[in-house]
Amino acid sequence: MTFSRVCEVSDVPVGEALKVESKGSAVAIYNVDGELFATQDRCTHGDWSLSEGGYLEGDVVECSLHMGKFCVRTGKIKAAPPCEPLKIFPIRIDGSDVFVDFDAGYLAP
Amino acid sequence: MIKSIVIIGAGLAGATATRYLRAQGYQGKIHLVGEELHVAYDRPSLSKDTLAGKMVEPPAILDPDWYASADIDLHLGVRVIGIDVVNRQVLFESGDLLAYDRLLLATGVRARRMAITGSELAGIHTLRDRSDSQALRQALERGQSLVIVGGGLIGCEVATTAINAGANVTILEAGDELLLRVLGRTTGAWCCNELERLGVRVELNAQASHFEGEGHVHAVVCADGRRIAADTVLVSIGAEPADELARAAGIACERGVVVDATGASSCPEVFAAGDVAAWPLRSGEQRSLETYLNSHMQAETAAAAMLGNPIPALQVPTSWTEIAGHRIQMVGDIEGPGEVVLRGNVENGQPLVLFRVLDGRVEAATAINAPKDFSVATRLVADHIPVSATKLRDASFNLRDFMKAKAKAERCE
Repeated sequence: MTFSRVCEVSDVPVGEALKVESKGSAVAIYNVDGELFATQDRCTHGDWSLSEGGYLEGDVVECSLHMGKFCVRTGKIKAAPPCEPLKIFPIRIDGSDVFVDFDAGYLAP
Repeated sequence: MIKSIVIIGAGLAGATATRYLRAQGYQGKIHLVGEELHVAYDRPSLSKDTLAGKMVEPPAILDPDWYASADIDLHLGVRVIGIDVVNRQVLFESGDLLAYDRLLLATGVRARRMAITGSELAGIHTLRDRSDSQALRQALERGQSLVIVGGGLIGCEVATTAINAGANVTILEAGDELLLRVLGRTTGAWCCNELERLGVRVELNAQASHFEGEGHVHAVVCADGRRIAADTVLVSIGAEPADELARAAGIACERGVVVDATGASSCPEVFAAGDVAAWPLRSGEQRSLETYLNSHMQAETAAAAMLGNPIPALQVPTSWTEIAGHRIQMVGDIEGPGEVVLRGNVENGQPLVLFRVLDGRVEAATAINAPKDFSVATRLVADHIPVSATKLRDASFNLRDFMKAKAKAERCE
């Protein structure tokens, strides 16, 4: 497990998302009422950034390309057309710093 | 009791309806019938990544293994030649008959062809399915000349892919600007400029009058005498709904199968969804939309109605395109009554959003490289949320914050 520092907590205001990258892998960080979650940034359905082209409402992000929806806590599909869930990533907060383990993305059981 | 549903057309709409029927718990027979040998795939990529060779095959709409696991009867590579609405059965070219309790027409559209001299020459393509895309891809070699007749979405998308592949590309557009029908004049002119910057030659007010060649096309000649050499031609002048089965069966059609907002046709057991359906729009019009998102929504709506759960869904056209390296998203018809409000800088500044505002509400929006604003725009349009043109124009007015504040205010009410 190798966590990388990706941003400060204040970089992701409540209800917003931020794209962070490491070694060609992009992860979206979401702030759901003060709690941070991380998923793969690219929608599983089309080539689209969920942090830059998504709409976060509560803990559901909607991709603006095909209007697919995912739960950002679990990566699970909330609305078609996507068929595959998002990978989620371990995230850790230390003081004001946010860390993500880019190598440990996984599909929620 | 509905025991057998037949779906003609195994593309996005057909596959989506199939998945939705099973997701709703329908356990009867589902027959999915398609003329192509493939299960549903992503058609938008045929003019983009698949054509560019970035993908060998277009992505599947549903996992190909899903159909068997969900007990779907697939009939691929076969053609339906008639519908008997009295005895409720479809007739295949082979002579076989298949009975239905409910029938969904999801036959899509066909590329419109030109009826001008030389149209039969080799090297003249249209683009609708994966074999068309593969054939065109083989013609897109470096240094080859591609002439695209028709400067709409497909024409401009292919122009982008082809110029990036090293071909010499010319677009002939009969109108006085590119992309007028779908994107409107402002964005059309901007795209024209962007394509020209990439090296695409754009000829406006250019009406193709005939093709020259011996066996294989070698030039396109315009009505005003302009003559453009071509190794390959793409004719992308729009599409026609494949509604002939419905017509022959006496089902009401008008540039597509006429349906109500639940997908029901003039024949009680027959429904239509996707590009073949002339579906009612929120604007009061009724037409085939030829968009991925609306096809998806119509397929789910029609599937629900077939199961006896009609939920009317008036459509707002919603789509996207990739032209000259830019991602453009559209909601509503940008050309229409009201005022067009620009957000951002059309000359150089990105991102840019255009809104059409009527009576203090956004009727339509086009976003160029501005997906964040677009996701708000779709909500402004869908929910008819009042917002002033002055605010929309002000780039410092944060649309996302506006929506969040509104959502919060509603929670507190």
